[in-house]
Amino acid sequence: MDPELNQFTNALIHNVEFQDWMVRPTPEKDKYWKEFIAQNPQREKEMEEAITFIHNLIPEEKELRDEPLKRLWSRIEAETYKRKVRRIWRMRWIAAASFLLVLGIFSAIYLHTDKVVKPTSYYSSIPKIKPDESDIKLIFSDKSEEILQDRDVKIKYEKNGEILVNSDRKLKRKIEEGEKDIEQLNQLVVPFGKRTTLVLSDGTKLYLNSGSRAIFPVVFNKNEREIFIEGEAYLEVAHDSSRPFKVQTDKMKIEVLGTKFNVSAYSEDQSNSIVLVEGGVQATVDSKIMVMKPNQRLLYEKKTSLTSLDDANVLPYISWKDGWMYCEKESLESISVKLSRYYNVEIKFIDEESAKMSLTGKLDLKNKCADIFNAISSTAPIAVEIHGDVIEIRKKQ
Amino acid sequence: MVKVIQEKSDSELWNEFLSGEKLAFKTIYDNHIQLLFKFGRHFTKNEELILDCIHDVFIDLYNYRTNINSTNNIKLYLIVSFRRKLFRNLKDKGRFVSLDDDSSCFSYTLYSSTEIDDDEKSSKISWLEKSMNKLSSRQQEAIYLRFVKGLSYEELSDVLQVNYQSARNLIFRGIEKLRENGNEELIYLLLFVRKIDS
Repeated sequence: MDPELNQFTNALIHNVEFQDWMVRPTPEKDKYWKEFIAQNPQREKEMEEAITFIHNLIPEEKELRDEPLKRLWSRIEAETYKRKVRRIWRMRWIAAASFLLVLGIFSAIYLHTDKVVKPTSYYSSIPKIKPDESDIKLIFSDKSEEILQDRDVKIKYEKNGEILVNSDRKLKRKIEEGEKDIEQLNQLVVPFGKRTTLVLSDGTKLYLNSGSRAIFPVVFNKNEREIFIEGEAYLEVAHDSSRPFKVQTDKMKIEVLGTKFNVSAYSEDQSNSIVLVEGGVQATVDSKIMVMKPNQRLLYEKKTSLTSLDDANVLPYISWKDGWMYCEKESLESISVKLSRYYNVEIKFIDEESAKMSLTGKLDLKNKCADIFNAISSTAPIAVEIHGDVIEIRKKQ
Repeated sequence: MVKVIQEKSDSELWNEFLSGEKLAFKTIYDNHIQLLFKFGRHFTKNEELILDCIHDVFIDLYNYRTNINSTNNIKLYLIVSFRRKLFRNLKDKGRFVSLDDDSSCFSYTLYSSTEIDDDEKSSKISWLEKSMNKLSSRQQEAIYLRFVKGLSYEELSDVLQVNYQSARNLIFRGIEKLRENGNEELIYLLLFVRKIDS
């Protein structure tokens, strides 16, 4: 072999850029070396040799077969995500309910804007109760009220119209014989700082978050099931293929087609969203009909009236009902809005920097509000001052 | 679906993984399992041991994900972590005579000689075997990671725990030896490669 030729081949093999081209080719590198050989055609043979040399460095290697590959993954999965998923499912205790949805609802304020989907007449005939009172309130069709003073209340409607509170106390509301065919509507109002679990007569379960209300029939009629919600709610809809389940809000209508889905929004929030957990859901916003797929989020921007559909992680949207809050790169301001509702406190930011701070993590809502802010301040550079129901946050100096 | 995910950059994939996306974790596994397995097979024939080490790598990755900051180079993180675990395990089993961490037992052609009856392939293998055996195992490993796994010199120095220049030298001297020793075989190979191409 000609020693001079050999020398140039060696130089190419040792050249870092040439090596990079061989092991990590890109269109730019291809172009560069093609131009090089076009300008130096006498070097073509050496380049070929260099390429062959490097190609020949690739040994014959056996792949890991499919079966052990899958077996190894099952092992890894069992010790990571499977464990976690099991825990989440236990928390959900959805049991019999085959449909699951979380609702966040469009605000009352927008009732007065032009694009509002009008609630059915009998919903609007019911006087609107502001959820700013201190106790959970159940209002019956005859306008009588039941005040419930606990922080977390469980209400269950039986098929015969009987109402159970916290599974022991019975509220007897007799259904008049002649009125059985007419839907008697009840209203549940949950103020800020309180939560309620409501089981409807068909077995559908609702978690109503702070500052929300629901209007629903004591007993559903034979053809369809429809309720009205304002604020935020998580629903596990009992399966009944003969009677579709519809949820009416100020801004939109949701109809359950398949299994699990989730929506979230408040009047004060900039945007509202629906997040589908599993199965299919049909949502109507501004007379636009959208069919959603699992792990999708429908986002409605109030300022622009734009709706968009994108992929999403569902956990941050549904965790509140299990008593924890999952934040994913969420601003302290946005977290505080949720916490202020949940605990019915006022949160003030002294400077903008602390409001814009972004946090990721899990907050246990079973703790006191002050404890939560103390926990945040131990990891984030903020100082927290608590004066009764007012919490002041400033950047740590 | 998987294809789309593979096109995502490491940092995107990593962020999805951090936010609890199981699919991202599975994608990281699928994208690197063969690389780690093949790499491991150059150190030992004990495939169960290799799989145990890969298992530990991914359990650690999951458990310590919030503390790992090398988010833009998942491959490098996995190789470094896997190599460390494999060495520790091999040492425990007494496979390494020396206690010196530097003395890896990398063998370029540990499992290629048998099983292949193809004439053309086996001629390439015999060239590799003959010439690679003259290199130190460090040189062999460096050439493998650079030319087979496509690591950059910076990444190579991270894996081998040496500085950039030492990584360059390992490859340079290794290639020089291969060029000195392998000329005749190489000419033969060139002829046969041309034959395939035509």
